[in-house]
Amino acid sequence: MSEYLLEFKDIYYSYPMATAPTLQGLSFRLPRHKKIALIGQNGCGKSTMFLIADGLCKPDRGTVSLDNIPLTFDRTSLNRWRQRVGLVFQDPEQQLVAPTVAADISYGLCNQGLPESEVAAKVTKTLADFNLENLAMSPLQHLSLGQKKRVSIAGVMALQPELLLLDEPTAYLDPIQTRNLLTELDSIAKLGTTLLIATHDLDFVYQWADWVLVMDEGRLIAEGETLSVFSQLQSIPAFELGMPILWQMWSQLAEKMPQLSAPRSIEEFNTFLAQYISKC
Amino acid sequence: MHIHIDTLAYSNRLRHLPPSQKLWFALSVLLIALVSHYPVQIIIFVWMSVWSVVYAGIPWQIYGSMMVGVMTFLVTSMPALVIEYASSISPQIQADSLWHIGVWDGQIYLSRQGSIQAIEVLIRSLASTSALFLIVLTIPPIDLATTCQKIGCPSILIELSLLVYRFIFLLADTAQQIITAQVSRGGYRTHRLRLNSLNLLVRQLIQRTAIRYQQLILGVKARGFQQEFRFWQPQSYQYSPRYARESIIGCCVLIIGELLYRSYV
Repeated sequence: MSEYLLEFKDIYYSYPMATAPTLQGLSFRLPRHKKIALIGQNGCGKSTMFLIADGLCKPDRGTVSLDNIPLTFDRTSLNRWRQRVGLVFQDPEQQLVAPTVAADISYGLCNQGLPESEVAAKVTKTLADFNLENLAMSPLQHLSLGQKKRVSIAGVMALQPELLLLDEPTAYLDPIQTRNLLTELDSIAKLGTTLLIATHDLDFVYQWADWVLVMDEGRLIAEGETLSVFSQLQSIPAFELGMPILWQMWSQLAEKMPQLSAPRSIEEFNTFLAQYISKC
Repeated sequence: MHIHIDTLAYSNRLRHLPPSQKLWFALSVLLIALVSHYPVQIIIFVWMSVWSVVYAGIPWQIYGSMMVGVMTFLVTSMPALVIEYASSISPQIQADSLWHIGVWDGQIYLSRQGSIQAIEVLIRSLASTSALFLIVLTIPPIDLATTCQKIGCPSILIELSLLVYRFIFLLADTAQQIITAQVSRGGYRTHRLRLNSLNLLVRQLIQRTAIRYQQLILGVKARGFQQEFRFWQPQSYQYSPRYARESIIGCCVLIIGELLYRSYV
């Protein structure tokens, strides 16, 4: 089994009538079992990349492969591919199709042609895993946005994909809903699912991700482990999204405590700061 | 946009009853309403209203306003049954006329026969509508679809109705969002602005529906769409012998009542 799960090799993609290609030679590899974040400005091609990664758009050039097996875009391989790669859209309404929560979670499982007893067992387990048992028979139009988001993730996770793609999962959510969502994502990651999240929230990326990809104008401009990517970004003038607040605060202290690596959470920062103050 | 009927179908006190029990009962009563006479139909109307308002707990204001809404359509068709025109006045017309007014060389009159027919139609409609309301207000669409599937309805019809049902709410939400945005920007201040805003609303809705359609295609493909919308959901219904007893005895009483009416009147 390869260390990398998904690979994009020199991918080009243009929308019809577009003046410039959206993806221009995009190449990257996603390491297995990691929490990966994809950052970039609006319009840099993040969502298009997700559509290609789920086999929903066919690239003009280049290959997409999973475990070194290229995607051929015929119906059988697309079905197999989408069982292994789950996509959660930014707007949950886009992928919720059934009238009730339980029925919606069952949708992907029924599409796999599983027997009813297996569908029933998996829906029951997913409802319990995502704490949706009380809402099982509720109609989707009665749910809040945060609950809809949870249902859309649960519907995809019921298929137990190896790679879960989430496009701006925290968009429109309040801080409590965001916190709950992140707890759920952490438990999904612990089960061994590789997660790829597209976001603009650099503070979230800095604290959450193991691996970071940075896109600009349809190309990859940086990739690697989180701390190393943010070190690279400091010296890339094209990157205009700024830097995480923790990173900026630590940069004031880093020179004075060179033996420590940059803190990844507020708690870690506070501990380091206390050490620094006690030294002074 | 809040749609009462849907919310009530999911939250009424008869939700726990198997949908087939409610459906067969309401359809049987509907059939009796269609073939019986007015005394039985009046009893059906009262009995079905008790099921909806008392047993299912549907607020009477909502039930009443829905009934008034449906009856408004019916009442607008009444003049066609009641008012007649005759160019010459024969003894039969004179006997049938309750009130008349001369027009040109004939007369417009209120027909006795027509009025009786109108009252019969009104009572039959009230009875049938009350039976249909019991279905609409106590059986959520997905339960209705599952029951229809079990009795062999074509799956394409069921899929289409469920998708239409799902997207009615998306359309209603989108329309509500656009209207709110227009109101907040003063779009409905004057009659002229109102027309202009409505025009914009319709255009926006068409555009957004097209976008929604594209998004839906991507959404269902991403979830492994296999040319068929199939769902499963837990069945946690409790068959109620008490309601079953009441429905069977009630239907028998209605049938006996109708037979007695036919033999004596």
